[in-house]
Amino acid sequence: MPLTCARAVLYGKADMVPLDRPVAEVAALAKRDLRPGDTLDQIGEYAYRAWIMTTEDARAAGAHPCGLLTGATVTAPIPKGALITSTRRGHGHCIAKGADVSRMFAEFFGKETGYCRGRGGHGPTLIESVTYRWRGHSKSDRNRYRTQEEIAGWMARDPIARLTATLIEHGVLTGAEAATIEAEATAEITAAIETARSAPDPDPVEATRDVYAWPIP
Amino acid sequence: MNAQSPVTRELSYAEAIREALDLAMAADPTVILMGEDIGVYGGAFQVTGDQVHKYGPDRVMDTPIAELGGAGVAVGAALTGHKPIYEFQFSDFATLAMEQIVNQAAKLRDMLGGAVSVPVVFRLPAGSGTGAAAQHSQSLEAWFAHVPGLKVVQPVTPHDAKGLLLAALADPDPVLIFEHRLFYKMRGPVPEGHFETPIGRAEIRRIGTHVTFVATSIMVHKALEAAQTFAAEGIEAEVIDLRTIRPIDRETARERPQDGTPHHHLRGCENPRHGG
Repeated sequence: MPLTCARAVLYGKADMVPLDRPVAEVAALAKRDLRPGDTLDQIGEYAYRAWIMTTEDARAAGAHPCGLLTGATVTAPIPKGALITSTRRGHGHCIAKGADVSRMFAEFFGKETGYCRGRGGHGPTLIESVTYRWRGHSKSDRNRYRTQEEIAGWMARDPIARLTATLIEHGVLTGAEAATIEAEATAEITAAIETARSAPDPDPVEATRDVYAWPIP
Repeated sequence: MNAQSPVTRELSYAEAIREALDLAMAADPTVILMGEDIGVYGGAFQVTGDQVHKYGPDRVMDTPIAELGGAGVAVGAALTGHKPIYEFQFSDFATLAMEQIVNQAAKLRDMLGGAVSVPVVFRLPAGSGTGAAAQHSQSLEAWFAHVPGLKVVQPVTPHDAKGLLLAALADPDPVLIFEHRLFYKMRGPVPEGHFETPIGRAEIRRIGTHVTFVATSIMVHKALEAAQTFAAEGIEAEVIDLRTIRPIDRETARERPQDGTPHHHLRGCENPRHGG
């Protein structure tokens, strides 16, 4: 492991390299005679073991991927040692596992009500909100890893300023109202700091109060 | 022991732990077991045994070989109303989960002003003597005893293995139980039913006036053996089993004979000498 890490980071060499096409598939052989109605257990348990095949052979044989077998139901007898095969048709498996057929068709027709919101099997929707901090990570951060131009560029795109401008532009907010909101927020923070400053300091014996549920020696 | 003492049988240390797990699982549905190969395989040292068949894989969870993630799930479960018992296959692998144990489990009560409890129990097979080499033989309990917020116990008998595990489960704070791997097959008397061995209380294993051994874990047994040798020469050694290293029972550990005879106080633990 340390050698793999060093090789990757220092020398830029990969430990394993993906090829540009599928080459091998991990199928499965029955560990014991499997009967129709049997439910398959997990990898490493008692029903099947992994078996590697070339992609061509696996496709030709209808071999079922080993990683998708957990919980599957056997539909035809499979003798001990035999390859576990299936029709390899995704919708068949979905129906067998209890999927809602109307949602499956909605997906097929690219509708919002489909299983993947009509996005063709790309899974959940990810929203990435890119933001930027104006100041350093701490007071001692001298921003040596970024330029003043970069900071100024991001500050010009500040979402609060842009939202304020948009609201004023659409007549939802006036410039005076925006200034009042800002002044109120500043006053609230200032008051909170003053309140905290004038609050009593904790008793030193309180320092360990919540380290354990009850005091221990 | 009082007059109503329950029936006591001989059990192995591993069986005593399993009995404690079983009692806790049966009595409290919030108790869950987690760890690598603790399900169908029954645990690396066959401690969990048949628990998965009794309580199912939702409560006896085989976790991946990813201690940081597993410990994180255990700490999160403890924060949200469960009493998880997470088994490290070897205590050495707790090194991979230090963030969750030291920075999270130990700190959360204090960080949140006492608003939360973290009733997680970690079980850690530890110690040397099985020829398991340098990455599977360490005694790291002193590290954890150094951290405020953690409690650390080291049962040395089947009786205490059961009693300290049940006490750890009843404790609202994180408790680490270091089990010496040479103990698992050791047999000894264990009462039936629920009982708790108090955390933070040392046990005097042998009474003597000339010299005192204060020891932990396997060194308690080595001290008892040494005491036999000494006795043949007319030297009576006291052997104190510290049993918990945080909190530490200083009162018992410092006990001295009252008659003023010259006295040696010796300490024994399996840690490396430096900082041990």
